[in-house]
Amino acid sequence: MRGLTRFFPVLMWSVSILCPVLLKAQNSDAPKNVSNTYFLKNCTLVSQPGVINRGHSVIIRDGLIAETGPGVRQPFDAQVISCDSLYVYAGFIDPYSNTGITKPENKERPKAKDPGNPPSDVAGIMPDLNAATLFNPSDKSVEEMRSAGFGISHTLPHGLMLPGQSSIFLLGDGPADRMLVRTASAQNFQFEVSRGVYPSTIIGVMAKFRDLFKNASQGLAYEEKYKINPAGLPRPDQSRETKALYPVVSKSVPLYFLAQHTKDVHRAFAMKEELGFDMVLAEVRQGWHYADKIKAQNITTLLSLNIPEPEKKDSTAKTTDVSKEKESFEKKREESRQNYLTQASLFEKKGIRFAFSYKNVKTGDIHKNIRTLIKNGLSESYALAALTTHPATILGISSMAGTVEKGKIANLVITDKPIFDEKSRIKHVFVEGKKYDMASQSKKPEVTKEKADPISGTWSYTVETPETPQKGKIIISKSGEIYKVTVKDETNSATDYEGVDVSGKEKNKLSFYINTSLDGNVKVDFSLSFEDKLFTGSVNAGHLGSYEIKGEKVAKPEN
Amino acid sequence: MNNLRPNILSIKKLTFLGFLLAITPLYAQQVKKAEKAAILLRNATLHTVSRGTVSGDLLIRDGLIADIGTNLAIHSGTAVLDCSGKHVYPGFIDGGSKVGLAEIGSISVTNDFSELGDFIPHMKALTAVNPNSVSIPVTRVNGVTTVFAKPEGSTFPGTGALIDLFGYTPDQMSCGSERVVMQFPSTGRRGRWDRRSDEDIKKETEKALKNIDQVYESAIQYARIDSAAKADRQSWTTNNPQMEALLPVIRGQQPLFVEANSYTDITALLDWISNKKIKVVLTGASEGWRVADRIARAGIPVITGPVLSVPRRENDRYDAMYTNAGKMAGAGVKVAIRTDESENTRNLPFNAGFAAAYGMGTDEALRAITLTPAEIFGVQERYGSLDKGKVANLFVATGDPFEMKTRIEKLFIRGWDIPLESRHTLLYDEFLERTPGNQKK
Amino acid sequence: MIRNSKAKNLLLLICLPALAAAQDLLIKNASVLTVTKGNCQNCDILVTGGKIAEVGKGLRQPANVRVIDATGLYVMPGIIDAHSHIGIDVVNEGTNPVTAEVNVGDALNPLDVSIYRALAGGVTTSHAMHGSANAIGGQCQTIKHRYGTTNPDDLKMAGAPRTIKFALGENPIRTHGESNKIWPATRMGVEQVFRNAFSEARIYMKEWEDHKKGIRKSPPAYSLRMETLADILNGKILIHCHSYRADEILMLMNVLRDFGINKVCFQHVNEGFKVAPELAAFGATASVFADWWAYKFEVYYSTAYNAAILTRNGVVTSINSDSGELIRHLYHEAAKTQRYGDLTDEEALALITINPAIQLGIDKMVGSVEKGKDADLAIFKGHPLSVYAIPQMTIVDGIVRFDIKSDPDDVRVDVNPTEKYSTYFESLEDLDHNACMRGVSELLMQESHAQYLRYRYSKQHQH
Repeated sequence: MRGLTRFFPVLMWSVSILCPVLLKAQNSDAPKNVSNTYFLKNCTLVSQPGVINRGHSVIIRDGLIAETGPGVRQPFDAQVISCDSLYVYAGFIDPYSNTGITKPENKERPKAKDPGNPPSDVAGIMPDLNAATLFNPSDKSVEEMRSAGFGISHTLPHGLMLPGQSSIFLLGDGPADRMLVRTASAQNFQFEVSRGVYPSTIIGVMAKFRDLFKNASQGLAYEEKYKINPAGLPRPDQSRETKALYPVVSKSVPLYFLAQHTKDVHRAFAMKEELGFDMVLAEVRQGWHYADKIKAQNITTLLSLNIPEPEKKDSTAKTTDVSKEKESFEKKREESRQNYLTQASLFEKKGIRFAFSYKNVKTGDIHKNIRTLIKNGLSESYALAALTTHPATILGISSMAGTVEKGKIANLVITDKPIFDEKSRIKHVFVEGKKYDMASQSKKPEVTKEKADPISGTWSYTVETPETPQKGKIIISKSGEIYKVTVKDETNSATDYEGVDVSGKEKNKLSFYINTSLDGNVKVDFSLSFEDKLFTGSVNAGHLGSYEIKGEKVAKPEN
Repeated sequence: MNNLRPNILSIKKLTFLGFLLAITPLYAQQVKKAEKAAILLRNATLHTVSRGTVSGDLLIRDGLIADIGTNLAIHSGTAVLDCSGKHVYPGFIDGGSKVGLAEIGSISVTNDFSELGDFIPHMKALTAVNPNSVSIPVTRVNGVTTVFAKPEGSTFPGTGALIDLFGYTPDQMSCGSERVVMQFPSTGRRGRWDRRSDEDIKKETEKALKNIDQVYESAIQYARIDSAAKADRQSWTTNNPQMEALLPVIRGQQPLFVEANSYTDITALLDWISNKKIKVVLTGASEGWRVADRIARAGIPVITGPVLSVPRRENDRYDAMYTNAGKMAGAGVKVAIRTDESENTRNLPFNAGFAAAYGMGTDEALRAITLTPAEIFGVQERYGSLDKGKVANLFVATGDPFEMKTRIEKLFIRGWDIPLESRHTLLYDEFLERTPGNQKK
Repeated sequence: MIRNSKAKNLLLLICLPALAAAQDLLIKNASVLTVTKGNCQNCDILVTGGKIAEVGKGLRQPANVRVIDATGLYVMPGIIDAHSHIGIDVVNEGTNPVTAEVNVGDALNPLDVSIYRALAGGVTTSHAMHGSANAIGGQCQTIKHRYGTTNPDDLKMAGAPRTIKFALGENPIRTHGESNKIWPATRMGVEQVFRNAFSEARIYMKEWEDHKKGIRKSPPAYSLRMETLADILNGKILIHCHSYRADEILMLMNVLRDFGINKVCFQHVNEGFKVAPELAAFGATASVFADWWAYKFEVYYSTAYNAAILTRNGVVTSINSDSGELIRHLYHEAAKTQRYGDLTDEEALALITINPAIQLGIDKMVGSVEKGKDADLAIFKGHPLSVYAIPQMTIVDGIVRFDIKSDPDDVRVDVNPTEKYSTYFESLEDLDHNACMRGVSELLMQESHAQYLRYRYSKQHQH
């Protein structure tokens, strides 16, 4: 059972790498690239943050930057890109995201027989899983990140408390193995719990991690002793979870802590101080209380680009009875938002060499949000550093990436305006010398011409409940004009629902219900609204409460 | 402390003593019954509520306060209780509770306050009142003699009943005042886990408002047809108990008891009734203080509580619920206090005490659990104060009954002298000095 | 740049109470209710370095102290709640009948507004407990109500012994036996969960001992769970056990006796009054509700006279809240023992001060107004056992954390930057009457969504 599920992601991966190969074959009539040598002529070259050189040229050859400077001669075999009005930057480096890792389906897991002792994969304890074995260059996130200017991602598996090991990949479109820069470069920890099984809470997760870590510490020590002379000694523990943590114990790889909230940051520090490992704080949204501590202990920190949107003024309270209170409420809220927005500039002022992280931000918002941080005091050169040199240093790849310098890998971003200009567009991105042209915004290809039935199909759903969300699938099928709705929960037990009703101009609104005879009858009412590949809505169970439900279309429903 | 623990020797001693004194232990074994009182409470401090505090005598006879005055004559067959230094109060009235309808919280089959269905105003709480509920004696020994036992759980969950906490059948307990209750569509969140979008909440509320409008329109139609049928002496055969239950509300004979708590919901309720001819009592009103002036202008009485309750917004002041009743009263709203409790309805005087301390003042808080609810329930002629001719629901206390230290020494409901016993006191009597104590046998 | 400095000021503002140093105080001319050393009229209390330096009449006023005129006011020790769930993000890791290794101290939440609301009721210390979903639940954390800080560690009370939550009766039975079909499904099963856990821990200890002596070559697998159980057996962790019925209370005392454990505090212990002599003989203590009963079957045969009967039988008793509501008026809860059982003022006040301090093992530091103890003080207008009492000021370690005279309307430390104005909650489950089973619903929700919802509803009335 456990072996199988462990094997499962690998299986998925091998299937997915088959797909792009097939696509390539079909596309073989496309024109071949004329030359892999490029001459970027007469650019505004921002070779590193704060160093702006006008009238410089760059030669790219064999995937590397062969030459830069004002007087560089154009090689005969080079394709020429006239850069007169363009800006050239080093390719951006993403030190923390799930780029290239296809999000696994909600695995139909059998109900744990004993919730107190679930198998490791159900519990979310997967430290031996490596992103390198999961990376899929044709996952849409790769192209999206590349289009945003990123040439390198340090990517981690999706998962729970110990989702697995990160690996560093180039964001080209070659086979995964070719794109791999470094494997098993970090171990990861998240305060994410498994629903209903141990550890089901953050206190469970923290206790379990201590347990694993201590076992790894003593296991490592024992293994060394055993290596010297095994005679008379029982064989060391061979458990994969434990062994996978040996590099963390020996500090040969860092442990990335996903720590968004101020309390998460505190808990991460607490674990570090107790157990002693090299820590990287990732996805920090609210870490300003710890700026001094981060600085003093020189903790590598990745700031989240998931920043709060401004709130519209509410119109709920109209009369004057409460206007004063409302005013102060809104003032306090805006002040709070300011803290989020000025965090990056505060960190800059403290001299903390942070980078950004991208696990929880929509790729399309990255540049917009960086601009917001700049408006709130972050300097442009520091912002650029957080995109390039800082993550290069953090990942230990600054000798090969992060700046536009001779000998470095040819990862470049070429824009029509300075990168942080509101109107700036990325024209080209180079990844290891390969040029990717960015389609202009208007020419986005239509995905489907035919207006299909917007709701039929299999959808995954998540119901927001007080603790962890409920997940499952909704299967909607149509025969004639009659719709049928089946809901499968996480344990894969299916229920057919009644009163299926489709409404809305585009036939994209769906409601259905079921009467359950629990200890008192309850009508559970769903009402969903579909848009493209997503739906939102609510589940209403009378006096038992009402919950938000959302979900997305499952690409390839398995049976 | 150790000498309090009886050992075998002291038990023997006790038995011996008991034998000598003949009857004390035997008495303890007997069930105490209420007795119809004919009693003169002599020289008491009478907290009349209606006429302030006076010193004098109070005569209970035939279930009523037969007389109040100084130096009242003693008739034959009338017992006399010297109440010098004692305080007499009218029995407390809880304007909203589940006593009698709920027995054990977690066991749903022992709870009868929530029937299935959203529009069921004909469900009568009085039917389900259990006169032998263990909670009833527990409640009344704290001076709470009367409660409004109310259904809940849906938009029109039923009709509640004002009951006295003594009697062996619901009819014996009934005060003859029943009221249809309604939950006004709520825009509040049910808890932190309630993640509905604001828009969803808005939609749901609008739908629910439409529903109640529909109910109201239908009820008016029903009342019209019913009146027409009666006027023409037509026989109108129908079976619509829901609508039938709403008739007194529609005809303005009774107020509708509407539960609304948040600022938004209360204002929506005030809007809703502004163009309707029905009378309304606002119940709950946790955020009544935010709209106090408007409630006062609308002339709507309020039954609020529990006072001992957490503020409902994170940015609320810590004392938001303590001060609510006082703020509303201060703005001119007629305010009664309830516990909204079941087994701990006995805490009514303490809820009033907190309201008193946090701005309402003791007199107003006392009124909020006596005469004001009597008025709201339309029984002020018979309940709520110490006045000649009123039902003899009253108690004798050693002092201010809001104070925990105060002892209630005598309790009358409808002129019955009620033993001050409950499961809680009986267990105390039995276990304070347990026999056998700490021995194996 | 202007924006930045504004933001900086804001940061300062938010951090201010946390950074506030203990200022020396002289509380003058108060009625001091020391609890352990009687009452003192027209008395002064000098606070230096966060400690009570002196208590007495007409104390000399040193330079640089803040003088608090308490004429006409009462000063009592800061109130201590031996059972609460405020200030923590997690209550129950209820997945396994034994989860001794988890610790709610890992999930402290200093941003919880409930802490301020407790301060406004004079409560300076509380015992943030794991829930009651499992027989051996997690470790608890004694916290001081230093509201204003954002650092969870600031809440921890230094020097407070480690404590752990056990639970008997309906809650563990329902969580494990009824919904997961594993022991315990009865009170018999609950007993064996304890016996088994302690026996396993003994084996574990023996294995490590053997390893250390060199008898066993390889180290045994490390288990934080067993380590914790071993610490209980070694007397390093105090047991606080959720319990209701007399039989189960006796059961646990028998188990503990068999395993050589001689300290236990029973929590709730609604039927403690029935076995008060046995509790006293064991030396067990009891932390009870003032008057909660009938919310489930195992508390149907309860009495509000519980605290009085226990006290009179020589059991060290406290009154607790287990609720974000009751914690705001524990002084009132304690006063109920005067109606239900005639406790004296001193006895009643002890229920929420020195007695819970004893139960938490912190009575050397807090729980009474005595020289050398932490300056945790609550100042009341009106006697604290009167229903008209109004807390005026609450001091923790010499720092004024609540002052009715400068009490802002909105005291949130952490403000959600996208929260709509202003969320009204019909009910606040985590502030209200079901704290002990908070977070367990997940477990019971394996079957269907609706059942889960149903469960949530029903548990609003459980403790």
